[in-house]
Amino acid sequence: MSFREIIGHRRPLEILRKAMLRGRLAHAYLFTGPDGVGKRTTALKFAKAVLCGKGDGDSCGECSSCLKMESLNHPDLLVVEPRGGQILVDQVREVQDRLLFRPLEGEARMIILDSAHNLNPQASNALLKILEEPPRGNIFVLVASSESSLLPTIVSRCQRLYFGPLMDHEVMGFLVKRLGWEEERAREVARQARGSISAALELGDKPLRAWKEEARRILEMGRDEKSSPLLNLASAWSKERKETMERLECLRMEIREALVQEARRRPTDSGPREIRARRVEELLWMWRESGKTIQALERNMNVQLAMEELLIRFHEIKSSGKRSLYLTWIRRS
Amino acid sequence: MAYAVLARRWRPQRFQEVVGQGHVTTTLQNALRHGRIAHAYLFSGPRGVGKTTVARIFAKAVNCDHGPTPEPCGLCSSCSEITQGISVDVQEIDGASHTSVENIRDIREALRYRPARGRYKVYIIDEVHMLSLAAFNALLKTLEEPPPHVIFVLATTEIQKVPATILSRCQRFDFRRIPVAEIVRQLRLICQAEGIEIEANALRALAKHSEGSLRDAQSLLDQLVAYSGTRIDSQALTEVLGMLPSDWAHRAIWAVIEEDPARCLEIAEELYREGYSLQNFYYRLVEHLRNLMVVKVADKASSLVDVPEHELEELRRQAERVTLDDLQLWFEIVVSAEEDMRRSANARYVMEMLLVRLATLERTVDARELIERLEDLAEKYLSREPRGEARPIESEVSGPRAEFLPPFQKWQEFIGSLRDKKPSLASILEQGRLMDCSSDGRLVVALPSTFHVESLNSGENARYLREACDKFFGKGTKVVPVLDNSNHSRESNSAKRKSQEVRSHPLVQKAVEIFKARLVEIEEPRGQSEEI
Repeated sequence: MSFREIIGHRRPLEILRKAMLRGRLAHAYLFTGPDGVGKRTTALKFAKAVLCGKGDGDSCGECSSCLKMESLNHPDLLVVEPRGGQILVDQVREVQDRLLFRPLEGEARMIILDSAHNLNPQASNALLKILEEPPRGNIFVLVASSESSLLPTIVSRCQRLYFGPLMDHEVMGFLVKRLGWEEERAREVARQARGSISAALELGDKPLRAWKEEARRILEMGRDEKSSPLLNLASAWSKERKETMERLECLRMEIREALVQEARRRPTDSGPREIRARRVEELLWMWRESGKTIQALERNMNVQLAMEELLIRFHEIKSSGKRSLYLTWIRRS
Repeated sequence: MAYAVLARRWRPQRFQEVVGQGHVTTTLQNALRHGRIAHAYLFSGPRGVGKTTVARIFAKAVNCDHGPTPEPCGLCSSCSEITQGISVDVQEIDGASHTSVENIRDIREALRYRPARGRYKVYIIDEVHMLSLAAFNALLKTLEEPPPHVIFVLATTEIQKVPATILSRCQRFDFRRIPVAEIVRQLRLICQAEGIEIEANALRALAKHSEGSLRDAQSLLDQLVAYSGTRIDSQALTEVLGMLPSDWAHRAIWAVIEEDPARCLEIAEELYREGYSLQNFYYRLVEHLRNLMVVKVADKASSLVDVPEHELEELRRQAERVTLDDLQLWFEIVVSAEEDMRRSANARYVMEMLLVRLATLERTVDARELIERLEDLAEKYLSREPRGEARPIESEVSGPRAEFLPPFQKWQEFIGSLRDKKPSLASILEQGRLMDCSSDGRLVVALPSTFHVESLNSGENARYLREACDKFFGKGTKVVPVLDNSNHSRESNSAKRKSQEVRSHPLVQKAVEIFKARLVEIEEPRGQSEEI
């Protein structure tokens, strides 16, 4: 697989390709963006293209360099990955030591720091000098989730490229063409995957449709219904943390969907403005509350408690006749 | 492959070339000129403003074959060795990689030897904030009294991590962020020398984007050149840097102002499809709201808002459409979403929800304005009713209740029309006053006594009144007589009753008879005394 086969990311790929063609590669790049959109893949293909002797902006896939890259065995490729959750200062020192020598085969050496947001403070600082003025021919690629997760002094030394979420149809295309999924299934998963291929793969075997229906039920639950069915739901959901979070994301998708519909409707179609405003407010509130629950779950809150609290709060909103939630909204934020 | 980035090629080699740090270079140059060279310096300041660069130039200046000189020649062998980084007398140490006390001991060992060829041994310790506490402490004695041939230059971006004992032993220089204008000037210089054509607008935007760091500006320029060759326009800027044209924020805020959530969604969708970083857009939005706020409260202070003239116009137009309260509320809501925006895997949805929220938010009404309006209304009502006689409301009512006016105006005419056929009814009504005429056609009339009320309610009168009403005002109107229980009329009633009693009292009548008098005034009794 070569550089041009990467899915999506027209803008950053174009920048890299042109820099290769013009021979104006910088010595440090920083790839940022959400998980599972292809940053690391791009870094590797980029390295392959740079190390390939032909220098036409892509890898040929035939020369010895490309073949070594296929098996990640290239002597001029350094990949640094977190050890036990962090990139340690010793790993950075190893890189420094390697850089004292010229590249072994060609004129270039690629150093890929994967999950650079996991550089610990010592390692980050140890990287600064070498990142600013590496010996000739060495090119760093830092892969991180966001610029703000790195030291500003590191960011300032790199050329920054943003890899946004993929479009739904791109994810779907990947699932269908590369992995041979059924189209219907791929569409459903892609819709839920938020533009991330790794998320799509994780969702692959989940009963998305059932989740969706349940989410709809929660949204449609009437004002006068008792809250007990909701509580049953809470305990049914809270079997496993990760799964609960995914289901919450699914619920949020439905909330958003409802909101989008509501927003697209002209005020006259859906009755008086006030009713619409109220409905929108309700949905936004649910959106926000469910988001907070996800964050709480990330921070290891008890799953069942979190879910119960959330669902009870949903119910309260639905049954309360309060005209405006705005004050509460502000207070809580 | 053998390409050196602009920031490296254009690293200043003389004090004169350093951009935007005049306060530092002048002081250092004067020190060199007068031979007052300190043994320890500490350079602090944000990234990419010239700390390491100045440290190197300084090292050259003290060791230059023609020096110590306020400006290194850059040609002699000492200068060129230092420039290449191979001088034995100038050691540049990466403080972040050599953090331990062992490393400091090594330095101390080496201090004992005189410089190989120059006048001074210069130790530049970069990223000095990363030294361990033990290392800092091991450095203290040396830093206070090093051998006469040694100069330390420490450089750091995080001055707060350097112990006070170190700070007090050094001459400290704070490097500043470089103003946009100076970055622009420097970049223009680079562009000219490199044969790059760049639009003035793009240059300015680029300089602004680099937040006062020249290195950032240079790497951005590099990226642009790598992308679009030697002709750079604003288009390339947005393409390469994912830097948003500012009209996105304008468009989003217009959609919010016009309370159009659907358009908000379209904008978010478009941003997403174009592959822009929504985080960047978020910060643009915050900045935009801030600018809007500034324009709103201080239109004159356009210097506080760093935007081109045409954008300022746009800002003004938007500012006219929002109240300050709303702006503050929006700002608060937007800022409170920052955490969500940074952490969330689907920034797109967060942005959507944020914009929809703003667009559907009910607009605040200025409380002061409301109160003023209420007071206006109240004044009109009160001034309309002369106290004392209960008279119908005159026709000067105006303003918000305009739609209810006809009955008020016609009330008098109505009474007039009754006078011919039913004078008694007319006179009863004349003594009452019209209190209210609601939209459902009820004309509430306050009457001075229950007698009046009852007589209006009595069979024949009531029927007649109803018919007359229908004829005069149209079907569905109805006169509703009520007892006027305002204090005023009750008081006057009881006073009347009392005076009647007094007049008819046998004693009083006798007195009038005897004195052939006229009763002029009746006074309230004081205390327990007999009343007259």
